[in-house]
This record gives sequence, C-alpha cells and structure tokens, in this order.
Amino acid sequence: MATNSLRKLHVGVVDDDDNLLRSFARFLRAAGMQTTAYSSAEDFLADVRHPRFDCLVLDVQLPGMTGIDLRDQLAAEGDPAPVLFVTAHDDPRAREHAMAGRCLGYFHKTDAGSELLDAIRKSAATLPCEGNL
Amino acid sequence: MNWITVSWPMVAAACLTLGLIELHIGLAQRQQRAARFLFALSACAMAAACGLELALIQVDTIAHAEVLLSLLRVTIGVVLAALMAFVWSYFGAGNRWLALAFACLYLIGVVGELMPGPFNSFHTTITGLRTDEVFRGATFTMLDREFSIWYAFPYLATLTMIAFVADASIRLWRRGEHRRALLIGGSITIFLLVAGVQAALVLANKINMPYMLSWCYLAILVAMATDLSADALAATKLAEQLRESERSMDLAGAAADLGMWAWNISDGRIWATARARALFGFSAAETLSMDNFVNALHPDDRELRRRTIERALATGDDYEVEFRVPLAEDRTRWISSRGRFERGAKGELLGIRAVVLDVSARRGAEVELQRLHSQLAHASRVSMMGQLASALAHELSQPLGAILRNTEAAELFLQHDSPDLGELQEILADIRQDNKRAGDVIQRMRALLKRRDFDPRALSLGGVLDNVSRLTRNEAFTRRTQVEFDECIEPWVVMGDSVQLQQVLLNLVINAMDAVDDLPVDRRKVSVRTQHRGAGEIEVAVTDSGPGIAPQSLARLFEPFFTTKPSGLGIGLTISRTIIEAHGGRIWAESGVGEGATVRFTLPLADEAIAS
Repeated sequence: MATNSLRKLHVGVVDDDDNLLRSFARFLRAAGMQTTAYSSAEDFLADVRHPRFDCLVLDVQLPGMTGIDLRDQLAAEGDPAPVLFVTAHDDPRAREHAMAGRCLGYFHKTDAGSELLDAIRKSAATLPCEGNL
Repeated sequence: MNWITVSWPMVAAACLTLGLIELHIGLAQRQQRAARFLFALSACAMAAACGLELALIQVDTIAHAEVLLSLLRVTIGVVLAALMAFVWSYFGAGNRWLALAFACLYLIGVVGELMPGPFNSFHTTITGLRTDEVFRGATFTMLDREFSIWYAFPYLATLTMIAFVADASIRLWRRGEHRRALLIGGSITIFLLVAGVQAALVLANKINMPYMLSWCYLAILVAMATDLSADALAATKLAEQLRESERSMDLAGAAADLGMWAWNISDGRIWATARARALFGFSAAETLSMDNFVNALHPDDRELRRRTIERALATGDDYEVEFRVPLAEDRTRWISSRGRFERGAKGELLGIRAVVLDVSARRGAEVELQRLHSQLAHASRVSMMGQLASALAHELSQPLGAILRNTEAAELFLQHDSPDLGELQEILADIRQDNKRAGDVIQRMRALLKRRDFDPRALSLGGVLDNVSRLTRNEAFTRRTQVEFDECIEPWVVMGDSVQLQQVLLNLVINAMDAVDDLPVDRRKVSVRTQHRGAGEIEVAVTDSGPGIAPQSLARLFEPFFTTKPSGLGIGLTISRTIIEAHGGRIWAESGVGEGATVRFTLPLADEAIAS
C-alpha cells in the first residue's frame, strides 16, 4: 500500500461510537496520517484551535447535529476541507442528501479500509463525488 | 281369678311396653334422649305402682297393708317426679319454683308418713280391713284409716304439679307446637286431676273402690303412643321425600354432569352419587371415607385443597377448589369442587356437602389459549422486528466496522520496521471487546425473536427503556423524527417479562412515529416519559405530536384487528393490552383531534407486587 502520499495529511474524524472512533483514528495513523478525533459535531465545532484539516471523515448519524448538517455548515462557512462520509446503515435518502453537496465519498463502516484510503489520496484534487454504496 | 286380677296386670303391661319402647328409642337416638328416659322411668314406676295396687286389693293383714301403702306412696312419688322432669325436658319449658314446691311438699308428705311414733303425733294408722267389699262383681280389700295431716301434702304437691304442667303446656303452645301441648300436657293434667280426686275419695272412704291410679295413667299412655306414632308416620313420609329428592338430585346431577357427595362427621360415612364415584375413579359400591378422596388427588394439589377447606371453615363460607385426579396412562382429569359445611342448631359441624365437576376441557382450553397467545405475541414481535431490521444492521455495523479498522491498522503497523507491540496488544483487546459487543446485539435480537412463555422476574424499568431507545434510534434517524426517552434516574424495579415489556414499548413508539410521518420534519416529535404514581405504580407515557385520534377510533383502539394504517395488522395494541394486564397494570389512550395522542400504561412496583 502506498502510504507515502498520505504522510503529513491531517485528518479529522467524528463518530459518536467510542470504539469505532478509536479504531478509525488508529487505522489512519497506521496509514501514516495525523488524526484528531471528536465524539460529536458540536465537539468539532467547539475546537476552535484545530489545525487545518486536509480531510474530514464524518459519521452520518450523530447525536445532535448530523454529519451531513456539519458538512453543510462548513461549506456555508467556506471551510475547504473535503468530507468523507461513513455510515452504519443503508438509508437512500441520507445518501442522496450527502451527495447533493461536496463529498469525497459515501462509505459503509464495514467497507474495506483500502477504499477509504484511495478516496483520501485523491483529496488533493477536487474530483466529482464517488459513491460506493 | 276375676276381672281385677286380669286387668290390673294388663295395665301394668301396657305401661311397661310403652316405657320400654321409649327407652329403646332414647338409646338409639340422641334427639330428646333425656325426655324419653324420664318417661320410661315414669312408666316403669307406674307399672310397679300398678303391681302394688293389685297387692293392696288382695291384702289381708294390716301390717302388710301399711308396708304396701308406704311403698305405693314412694313409687307414686317417683312416677310424678319423673313425669315432671319429662315435661320439663320434652317441652323445654318449666317453672322451677313450682317444681321445687312440688318436690318439697311431696317429700314432707312421704317423710312425715314414715316417721316413727313418739315424734309424730299425727302418725296415721290403719284401723281396720274390710276384705269383702265388692266392686263390679269382684271382691277387694278396703282400708279404714284415721285421717292424718300428712296425707294432705301429696295432694298439695299434686296441685302444684298440675300448675307446673299447665304452665309448661301453655308455653309450648305459644311456641307453636299445638299438638304436643294439647295431647301430652292435657293428658298429664287429666291424669293428675282424676287420679288425685280418686285417691282422695278412696282415702276418705267416700267411695268403695280400690286405688285406680294406674288406670288414670292410661290417658298418658294413649297420648304418648299417639305422639309416637305421629312421629313414626312423619319419619316415613320424610324418608320417602328424601328418596324422592335424592332421585331428583341424581337426575339434575346427571343432566349437568355434576357429581355429588356428602360426608357425615358423626359416623364418618360418605354418600356419593355414581357420577362422583366415576370422576374420582371409585367403584360403584365400595365404602368411602375422606381418606379415599384425599388419596385420589394429585399429591401436589392436596395441600392447596386442605388449605382452601381450612380457610372456608374459619370464615363459614362455601369453598371452591380445583385439583387434578391422576388417571391411568399418565392422563389427568381436572376437577372443580364446591363444598358447603353443614352445621347443627348450636353451630357445631355436622358434615360437608359438595358438588364436583369435570373441568378438564376448560383447563385444556385455557392452556391452549395461553399457547396461542404466546404464538400470537411472537408473530407480532417478529413482524415488528421486520420493521426494525435496519436497527439490527446498524447495531452490528458499529462493532464489525471497528474490528475491521483495527485489523487493517494492525496489518499496516506490522509493515513498519519496528512495530509497536503495545499498540498491537491494545488492538487485540479492542477487537475482543467489539466482538463481544456484536455478540450481545445478536443475543438481544434473538431474545426478542424467540418464542417463549411469560417469564416474570425482577427487572429495571430503566433497562427496558434503554433497550427500546437503542432499537428505535436508527428508525428515528431514518424517519427524521425526534424521539426522546426519559432518563430513568430512579432504579424502578418491576416484576415482569423483559421481552414482552420491550415489545409493548416498541409497539407504542413505532405507532407514535407512524402518527407523525406525514408532518413536516421539524414537527415530528415523540416522547417517552415515566413518572411514579401513588399506590406503588409506575406510569409510562408515549406521546406523539401527530393529528390525534378521533373519539370513535379511540374507543376501538385496543380491539383486535382494528387499525387505521393501510398496512397495519391491528393486533399490536391488543397484544400490548394483554401483556400489560398480565403484568398487573392498565393501558389506555388519551387524545383529541389535532392535539396529538398519548398512550399510557402502568406497572406495579416490585415491592408491592411481592408483598401481595
């Protein structure tokens, strides 16, 4: 796996499931990235001193503000960080809503990690949205 | 031999006969035993007096005559005293002062008569005998006597006794027993009057007759014999009526398939109809005792039956109990028994009378109903779980996804030059933890989908709410509905079946979500609230912000197969009600058109439930 291109990328991960959050952050670290993990969209927004993220991995179903709403808010604020969605369920409406805006990909939590890494690798360029569901 | 020597013994025989009959009856029956013994005593004493009268008729020396007279006086005293006691006992009424006066007066008369010479200046003497007086063609002996004051006393005593008998008879008449008062009271009074007058006249030499007190007693004999035969006739009629009523009961019992049995305490015997014998497995002719009945029961049910009967004995009510009678080849018959205690006049227990019915069919139907209910509840759960299939997928995805990430991370770490073993150990620990999480999810789902019987145990209501909250979280998200669950701060413990209670709450929350489906997203609200109600109850309320329920639908909400949803089965609420009621709670709905709807149910708190 070509992890060199992923070095030095700073990724933010938001998921309300602690175990999943930890495993995701660990995986991204193993791939050579730097990660910051948040349990909710509110925590993310509250962290005003966060560095510039090269990419965001957001869980769709979050308590309070959802991942998709967070993406919309960031877009409204002009935050350029590309967003990658992960979800645990197959709701076609949520998928549509996600794809309606800017997104790197819409993945299921049980999809292979290599696919997520590929999507992140392309994050440098602004590509049309790739869905995987 | 003349008519006197023939007829006096006949009178004596008559007295003895009736006396012995009454004695026999008194020995056999407890009822009126004392009265019958006393009458027997009186009659037998009168037979002896009759013998003494006959001896006096044929007496030929003065000394002999004096002895006979004294004996006669004492014997008549016994006759009268026994008769007085008999009246007192038989009539159940008597003036004790009159009785006392009688006893004193007669005793004075007898004792005074018997006192030897010097002390008694009034001692009587027989001055002569006339042995050839003729009375109706037969010769007899008359006594010439000097009058003595002591002679008056027995006659005064007799007057007192007449007053006593009259008083007792009037009291009996007033109690409604006219026949007895008139017949027996009247005959005794006649005896006393006629005998008293005759004896007085003979004593005063006013008439030439032997003493005929025994002949006057015949009046009493006739009266008592009539009384006795009336009783015998009534008894025969009663026996016939009894047989008649037994035949009717047999018919009624056969028509209703009832068995009847009765237990008599005094002799321990049991009477049972053929049907009752058949139900318990007894043969048609064997003698039965209470032990037979107890042994015919299933051992596990004997204690319950004993306690039920004891409790009924204490309160005086009828008892009702159901028990099993084991039959051949492992079959069991369920019997319902209803019994009543028979008590005597003083409240003493005379026996038990009971009716038994074969209720195996009903019991079997109840068991079958319970089984069908479980099946239906299961089917409803399964159909509900179909709607929540996404909940299962979602809940499993979390731990499975985490395991995958951890595995991939481990693979990547191992490609490093010097892999951090500590990190790898943490990865393995996390994988193990997530695997357990996934297993728990599957177990909870399996519990909900399994067919099982009602299995109540102590559980925390908060736990039930948590489970349902977790299950519905996904659905709520998908449907963009805001579902709020109260946090159960208190550790409310209820006795219940966790799966069934979850089923009820799931049903209510899904219904609530259905109700708000058509509203704009920001108005879709469902809340689940809990509160403590007095009387040891918890209330759970599921409220939706939907269009509400119309009054005509509200009344039919819990009916089976009633639904307002096009794809609804209509059994969810019916089953929910059955479940809540089986838990000892109530469930009901409140709503107004345009005001949303709330379904509430209550559950008793465990402490109270355990206490009751």
